[in-house]
Parts: sequence; C-alpha cells; structure tokens
Amino acid sequence: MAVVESAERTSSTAVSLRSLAPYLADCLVVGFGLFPLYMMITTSLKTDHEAFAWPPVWVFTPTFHSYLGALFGFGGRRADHYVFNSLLITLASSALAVSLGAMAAYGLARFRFRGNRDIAFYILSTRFAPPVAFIVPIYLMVQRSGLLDNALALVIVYTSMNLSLVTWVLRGFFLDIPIEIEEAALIDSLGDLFMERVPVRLDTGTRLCSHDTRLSRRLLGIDEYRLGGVYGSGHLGGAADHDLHPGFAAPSGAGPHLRRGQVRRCHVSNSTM
Amino acid sequence: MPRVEFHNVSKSYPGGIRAVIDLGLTVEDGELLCVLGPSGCGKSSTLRMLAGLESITSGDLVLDGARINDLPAQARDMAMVFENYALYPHLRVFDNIAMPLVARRVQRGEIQKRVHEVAETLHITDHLMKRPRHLSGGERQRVALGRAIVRTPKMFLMDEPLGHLEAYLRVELRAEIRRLHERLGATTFYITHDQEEAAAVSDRIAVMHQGRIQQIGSLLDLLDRPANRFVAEFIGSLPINLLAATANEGDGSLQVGPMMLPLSPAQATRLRAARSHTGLTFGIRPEDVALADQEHAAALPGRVAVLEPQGDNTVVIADTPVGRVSAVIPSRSVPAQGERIRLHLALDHAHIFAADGSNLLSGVDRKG
Ligand SMILES: Nc1ncnc2c1ncn2[C@@H]1O[C@H](COP(=O)(O)OP(=O)(O)O)[C@@H](O)[C@H]1O
Ligand SMILES: [Mg+2]
Repeated sequence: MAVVESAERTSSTAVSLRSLAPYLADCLVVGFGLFPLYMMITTSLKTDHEAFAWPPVWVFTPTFHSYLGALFGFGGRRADHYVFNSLLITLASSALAVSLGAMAAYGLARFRFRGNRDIAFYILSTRFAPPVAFIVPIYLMVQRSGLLDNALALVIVYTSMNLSLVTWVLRGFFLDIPIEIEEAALIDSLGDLFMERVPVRLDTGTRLCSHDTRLSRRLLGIDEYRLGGVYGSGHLGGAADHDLHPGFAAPSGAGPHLRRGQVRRCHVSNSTM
Repeated sequence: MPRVEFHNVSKSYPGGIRAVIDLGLTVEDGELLCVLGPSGCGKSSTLRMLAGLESITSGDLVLDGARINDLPAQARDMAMVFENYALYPHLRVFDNIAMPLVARRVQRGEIQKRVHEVAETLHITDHLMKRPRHLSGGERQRVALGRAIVRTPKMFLMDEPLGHLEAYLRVELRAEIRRLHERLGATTFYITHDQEEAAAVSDRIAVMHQGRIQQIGSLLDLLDRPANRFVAEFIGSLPINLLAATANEGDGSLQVGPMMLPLSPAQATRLRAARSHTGLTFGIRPEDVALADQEHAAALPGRVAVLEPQGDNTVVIADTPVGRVSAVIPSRSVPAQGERIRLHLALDHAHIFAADGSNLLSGVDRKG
C-alpha cells in the first residue's frame, strides 16, 4: 500500500510541475515588463549617490528628499510654477490643435474634392521627420519674432507640430461616423440647432476620441519638453525669473550628472545643440 | 395634397456616371410607390434627389405643383428611414424619436405624449430609455420608423429600410410598414431590391434598371405582362426560360431551334407588325411549362437533367432540342432523373422579345 501511494505522489508532482511551466514563463515576462517601473520607483526613493551608483544599489534606506526637492526647492523654484506653465501651454496648444484639426479633418472626411487623399497624406507626412530636426530653424524664427521666453512661442510650436496628427486621427473618427446620421439630422431639420454638434458629440466613443486625441496631444506636448528648454530658457544670459520650461521633465532630460541647482545649466547645453 | 412628379429628371455624378436618366414618375397622394431594381440602378440617387440630399442635374422635381429642385432638405418636410438606421447614437430611444419634434419647438408635454403613442404603435415602449447600441437590428429600425412617423411630414422616404435585417424580421416589419401605411395614408416613396417585399408593402411597383424606369404596375402586371426582357428576367421567383427564336414570315409562327411554335392569331398579328423578325427571344415562365400527357402537337421532347424539389412543386430542368427548359411540376407526378419527357408550353402566356429587349406581345402601357 505505502509503496503504491508514494509512486502516485511522485508522478503527480511531475505533472503539476509541467502544468506550472506556463505560469513560470508568464511570471518571467511580467517581471521583465514591470522591472523598469520598479527601478523608477526605487530610484525616486534613493539619494543622488545611490541613484547613480554602479553596480546598482539594491538595498538602501528610502528617502523622500527628491520628492521634497521637486515640490519645494527644485532649482531654487517651486515645481508648481513649472507645472502651471506646462499645464497652461499644453491646454492652450491642445485646444488650438483640436479645434483647428477638427475642422480640417471634417472637410477631409466629408467633402469630395480633387486631391483630397493627397492632402490628407501630406498633412500626415509632416510628422515623418522627427521634431528635433526643426529645433534650430524654429529657434531662429522664435528669436527673430522676439518670442523667446514667452509661453506663446511654445503654444505655437506645439500646436503646429501636433496639428497634423490631430487632423489625421480625427479624420479617421469622422470617417467612422455614417454620413446618414448627418443626413438624418438635416432632414429632421435639426439644422442649426444640432448639425454642427452631431459629428462632434456623436457617442461616447467619439467623445472619448476627442479626449483620446487631447490626451495623446498632451503626452506629445510633454514629450517635447526639450523644446521648452530651447525656446523657454534658451535665452542664454540671465532673465532667470522668466524661465519657462516644463519643469518636471527636466531632470530626466538632464542626464545622470544632474545635481539640484544645475537645471539651468542643462538647459543651456540643450539650447546649444 | 402631397403629390410628387419627376419630369425628365436626370442625375450625373462627377466622373460622368449617369445614375438616373430622364426619369418621369408620379407618386400620387397617399400612395406607397415602391421602386424596385438591382443594386446600382439609381434607386437611391432618385430618392436622395427627392429628399434634397443630392442635387438634380436636369429636369424638374414638382411637389404639390411647385418646383422644389432648389429647396433645401430641411425645408421639404419629409421624413426618411435609412438602411443603416442612422439613429443618433448618443441619444436614448426616447430622444431619438423626439428629436424631429424638438427641432420644431413642440411643447414638452406634447412631445411626451406623441413619443409614447408612437412607441406603443411600434411596440418599443420597453426600450425608450435605452441607447440604440443596446437594441437589435429590428428594434433599431422600429425606432427609426418611430422617428419618421412621430410628426406628420408631407412624405415618407424609405431607402431599403429592411435591407440589414434577417429574413424573418423583414417579413414581420414589412407587414408592419404596410399596416402603418394603411393607417396613416401618407405618401411614401419606398426603395427595395426584393420583389416580395415590394409586393408586400406597395400600391404600385416601378421597376428601375440602368437609371431608367422600365415599367410601373402591380407585381402581377410585371409577371404577366413584362414590358421588356429585363423586367421578365428580374421579376419572378424562378428565372424565366429564354430561347433564341426567329419569326416565320409566311404563317406567322415562331421558329425556336428546330421547333415551330404555332401562335394565336392575335400574337401572329403583333409579330408581323414588328419591324425585325430575327434576333428574337422567346420567353416562357417555368410556371407555364407542364408535362404533356399525350402526343401533343406543340409538345417539346426532352430528358430530365436536374430536379429541384421545392415542397409541393418540383422544378424540373430538361435538356431539349432548343436548349435547357425548366418547368414547375407538382411533386407527386415528377419524372425520374434521366427520364424522357414531353413538355407542354402554355403559349398564350409566352413572351417574344425583340432584339432591343422590348416585349412584342405585351400591350401594357409603359409609363415613364
Ligand atoms: N456620390 C456618388 N458619386 C459618384 N457616383 C455615385 C454616387 N452615388 C451613387 N453613385 C453611382 O450611381 C449609380 C447609382 O447608384 P445608386 O443610386 O446608389 O443605386 P442603388 O441605390 O439603386 O443601388 C451607381 O453606379 C453608383 O456607383
Ligand atoms: Mg441604394
């Protein structure tokens, strides 16, 4: 009896090991995916020294000094100033890009005219080159128009850079809305009351779409923080009080040798590229 | 008195597509006129010109005696039902139905009352608070119908309203549409490519092909007296038998392959009056072909090639000296496959089409 039982037990362990294998593989993949997140969080809780140590420090005493610095003492400026600038600039350029883009997209999606598709593609193609490629020419333009250190410069640049993507995305949404719905509204005499709102308001899906684009717009805007560095504080000598850059993006762009209080220098180096 | 007349209306799209050509058509007051035709024949273009959604290239569109070519859609006071429902997806069923009333600034209490009446009629009261995406196709089309009938427009326009629905729902809803029409008595312009549906809902059917109206009449008219070869081929649940033929000048009979078909004196006269005696097509419906019981003068010998049982009746397709001929035979007396049979053609129901397709034997008045 006892012999039989133990034989059964070993075979069942072998079986359960084999059935566990896929889960182990899953754990590996998930671990790989989550590791960067883990590093980001732990790095934020390390001291500067620990953060840049090589080999990485795995065991350390967590400290919140980075958070405190970012919120209350970062670069001699409170972070809310940067956050406010970022918010203002992103919201303004998002609103501009979405409202202008929606009109262009509606025209491209609904009206038949010669070269319609070519124009749509041309609009998208303006995104083909990386925005960084335009930094110098745009810097010169901003400089000549006297808009350095002015939020307006960033709003204009972000809007123009993202307008194409917004137009393209919204065009897709408009194409998805059956034209019959607009025609039904027309025949029902919803005319002035309703017509313009139909395509924009359509369903939660579409409503989401505009959020969606606005969201990706905002991400894009933040992603181009470097531009903030260039056109905002690119102003080489002084005027520190009018510094304009999306503050929270600065540290990661500044590179590992950054110390508190050195943010300004990193922007100087950015602006010279 | 809503009455619509198309006078020589044509529609050309950019790119030179002539979708509607010289259309002449009248929709009488209170009539449900059905335009029936294959896909791409110009039905929707016609309806959209009537709705004001498409410009009229040439001709006059007259509503109640006034030319309305240039009247914008919202001023035409028509209600439309679309094939893909075109409900406002962000609005609840109630608001969808109420929208045309809201646009006309009807009082709120009145809107409540009318929407509920309509919902009751269409059996969608339970769905009033749902959004369209939570409804089935049949329910959505009921809502679309409700949105159309909630006010009293001059006309209803329906572009294949049942096209997206399953077969059993089509049967159910077409009965409903007919019932609504009989109750409301509204002038209706209805489009379909399904002849059964056309027969079930309409007062008159206009058959359209390649941008032109071919014939107007009841389904029976279209079946028994097709104006031309296209109508004969398009209408009917089974394809009509069409065989190449020539007219014999002398005795006024018809030569179909090796067979000589005796025609009635009236038919012979019509045939003789025809300008061309060659390139004719002889047409007879499978329903008008039967098994010949004895040695019959005009019987057509053949051999059974295919049997298609259809319940009470069976379609027998036979190889004959003049080509394949199909016949509808009661299933009880169906011959076996490969068996030699003789077919009797009911010649008084036969059609003879000229080379240009017109029916030489049919004196049906061709409107349009
Ligand atoms: N907006 C349009 N532009 C160009 N051609 C069109 C347009 N709408 C329809 N057509 C063409 O006109 C013809 C008739 O179309 P339509 O009226 O929609 O036919 P149906 O409704 O009978 O299927 C078709 O050949 C179609 O391709
Ligand atoms: Mg159509």
